[in-house]
Amino acid sequence: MATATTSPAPARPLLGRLLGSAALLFLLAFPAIASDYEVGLLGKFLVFGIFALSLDLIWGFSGVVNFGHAIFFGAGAYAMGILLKALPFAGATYIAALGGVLFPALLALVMGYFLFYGRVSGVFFGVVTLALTGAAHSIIIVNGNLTGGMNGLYGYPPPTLGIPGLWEISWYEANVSYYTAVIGSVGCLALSRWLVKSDFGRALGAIRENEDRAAYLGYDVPQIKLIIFTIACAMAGLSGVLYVPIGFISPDLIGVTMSASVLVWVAVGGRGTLIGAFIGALLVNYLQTLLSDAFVVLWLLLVGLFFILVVLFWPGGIVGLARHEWLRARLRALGLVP
Amino acid sequence: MTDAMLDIRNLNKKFGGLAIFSDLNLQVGKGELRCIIGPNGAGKTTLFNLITGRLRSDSGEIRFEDRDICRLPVNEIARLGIGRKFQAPSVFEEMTVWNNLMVAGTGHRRAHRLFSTRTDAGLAARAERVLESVRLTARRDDLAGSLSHGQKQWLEIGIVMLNDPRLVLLDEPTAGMTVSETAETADLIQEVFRDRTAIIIEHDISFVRRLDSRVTVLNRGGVMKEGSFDEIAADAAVRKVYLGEEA
Amino acid sequence: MEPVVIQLLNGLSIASILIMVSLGLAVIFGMLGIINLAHGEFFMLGAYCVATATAWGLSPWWGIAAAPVVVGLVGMAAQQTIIKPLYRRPLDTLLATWGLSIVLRQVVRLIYGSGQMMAGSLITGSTSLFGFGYPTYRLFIILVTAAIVGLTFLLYFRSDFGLRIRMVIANRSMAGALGVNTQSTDLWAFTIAAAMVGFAGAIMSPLIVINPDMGLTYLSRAFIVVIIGGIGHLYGVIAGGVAIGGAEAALSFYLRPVVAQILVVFIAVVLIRIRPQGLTGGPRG
Repeated sequence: MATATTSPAPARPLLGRLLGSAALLFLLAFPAIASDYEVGLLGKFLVFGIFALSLDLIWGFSGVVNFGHAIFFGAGAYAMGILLKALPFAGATYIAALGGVLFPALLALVMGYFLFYGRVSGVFFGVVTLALTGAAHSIIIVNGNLTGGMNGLYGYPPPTLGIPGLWEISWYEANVSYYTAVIGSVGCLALSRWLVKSDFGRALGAIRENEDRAAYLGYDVPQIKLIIFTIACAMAGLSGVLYVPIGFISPDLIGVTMSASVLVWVAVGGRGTLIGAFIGALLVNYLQTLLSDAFVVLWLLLVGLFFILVVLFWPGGIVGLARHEWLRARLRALGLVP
Repeated sequence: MTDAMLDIRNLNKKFGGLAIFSDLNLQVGKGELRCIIGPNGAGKTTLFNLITGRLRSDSGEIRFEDRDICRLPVNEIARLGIGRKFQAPSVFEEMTVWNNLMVAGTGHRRAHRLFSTRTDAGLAARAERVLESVRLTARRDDLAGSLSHGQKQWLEIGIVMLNDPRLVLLDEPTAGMTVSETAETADLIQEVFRDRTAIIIEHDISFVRRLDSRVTVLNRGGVMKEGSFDEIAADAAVRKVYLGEEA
Repeated sequence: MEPVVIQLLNGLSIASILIMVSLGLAVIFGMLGIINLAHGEFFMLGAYCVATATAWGLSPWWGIAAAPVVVGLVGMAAQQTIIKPLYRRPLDTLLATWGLSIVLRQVVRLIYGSGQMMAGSLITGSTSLFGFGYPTYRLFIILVTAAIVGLTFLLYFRSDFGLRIRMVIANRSMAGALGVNTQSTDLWAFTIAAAMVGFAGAIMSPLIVINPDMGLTYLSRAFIVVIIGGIGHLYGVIAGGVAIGGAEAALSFYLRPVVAQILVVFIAVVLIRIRPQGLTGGPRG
């Protein structure tokens, strides 16, 4: 990492709060100004944003490069779908959603315990997670009678929210799935900020920069990594749960392609910034939908190239650009920034 | 001798076929300031690695406050009260000076306590005091990476001191420093470690002389000689092996 | 119940395939410590060379001859633009080569589409062995693998270039001080490794599914072979290939091949955890 020679950007709470409030208002008002299709689309992007956010927690803040993050996203979605199928009674949705969060958390606990306490880290950890995500994809396909195999999971009762028996509302409804995505996004973002600003978050930063040194300060490094890994993967599972009413449960959610995509979203948006994960996910996916199929391939090619450039020159991604000194100088001249 | 702070008995360590330590015996008493010198390759840093748990010894005992710490992991040995300052400054360059101190101060906590939202006034006060004693109060909000080499060394001393370790291991604290910085560091160390037990590895002879402590000379896997600085400096064999290089 | 000979040949066949794919990686990653997540795509490009030749109505030999050159050039470009600048940043190399893998896959998709392609086979039919028929091409692959492994060992241990690589691996700065052009050594080592795996892809093309994403499964398996075999010793890749290939073949006897592969991944992960230095590596640091 290049040694910083200047002070970190001083906190700009006012600008940040203004932008945040504006964004929130926009999100809340969106269904009023957009079509059902667009609402569904934005909801999906927000869900991807939560997924990307969870990766930023372990990659951007803890320095753990996970090439198989989609395992937890897909596991959450599949767990929910399978539970919905298995529990056809009122109120099952809540249990299924809980299962969709706990199952990936459990997987993370087992996997993390096995790998972190075994001192498997860095490149080895990346290779192992890459192999496991491919294996997870195969497992889904092979167990067709449980998961629907290549075709995806169908035929589960529609998830419903509200009070079972008294007032039920279908989660499939565009506004409902959209607002749960918004609530999920805000909640996860708030949780992540709190985590990152706490003493725990500071410890993560130390571990990311120099694990050895952190251990010399007394930190139980594997334990801390395990904790953040489990929390982040539970969050990924949650995003999988929120995806179910909006999208379609298929093996694409759990394999190498999805794992690669989320890495790209976080890198492009700016790792280690939290909001960058959302920006990356929203931007890349939005631009992707704008392009017709013929151009999607070219688009992904360009995204791949941008990803390489980001790794080579620009770890800060898009958010990093915004914080870059020259841009800040311009904004300062305009009186927008102290 | 169980009232020694650190008691190393019959320590053996081999790397491949090379014996770094053969039946090493070393004791450091409570409140003592001890310098360890020796030619390159004598195993001084390896000794620190063994004490702090970074390396496992092949056989022998390392007793800290009459407790065998041979098999403990690095972080638990740190929590027992042994602090280590590395040869090359290993502060967290991407964090501010203040945060470096804060993150050092919470290292002893169990993980779930790291989530508490109550601000630790005691820790903040301690950090302020340490900041002052290492003369970095003015730089508290700067990134540690922006400090000069000497300032990074001091910050690291501050980090080590924050948790009040009962035994401090300093590995070449003046490496890379100017003459004046070295002199200042000698004073700083005498001040800061007045009532503490410390072991210092050093190459700079004027620094060792200024500290005026007991000196242990390591050579060829064992203790060659131990005594006051004057005794060591006068010993012909030591002069030949080590001080002779300094002329 | 198939005879033991056939089982052995199957195991040998899979092992050869894995060894051939992983050999380049063994030198680059196992010895020089360079991570390349686009390794699978180099393999894929080699296969596409033959598929292209077939599509153009040419004999597959053209594809096999072109593959090392084409992939070698791609490898050369990648080494200069991505690997070299990121030399001291292994995690970033991991990510950047992952980006390269994405880019290469998309380029192929752009040119050839996402569908499957076919590669013509040069040798068809089966050979009679101990009274049983066995596909001749698989025997051919086993032989070619043996030849390539032999050549690689010759190059590594007996040639000037191999000596230079070994010097750089042992002590880079010392090698430089002794007059070895480390930059050129890095470049050519990577290029040759790329050419080797491109060749592997070309040779294997008639037997496997050819589509833009085919490289991904070979990637993780290649890394597993190298890590299990042992980083730091070239013959580790043989041990790894035999171990993984043997395991896959043995398990395929009772389970579906896909399931066998999944199981082998899990076993490999456990092995990496218990013994990260692999089968041939020295004691853990």
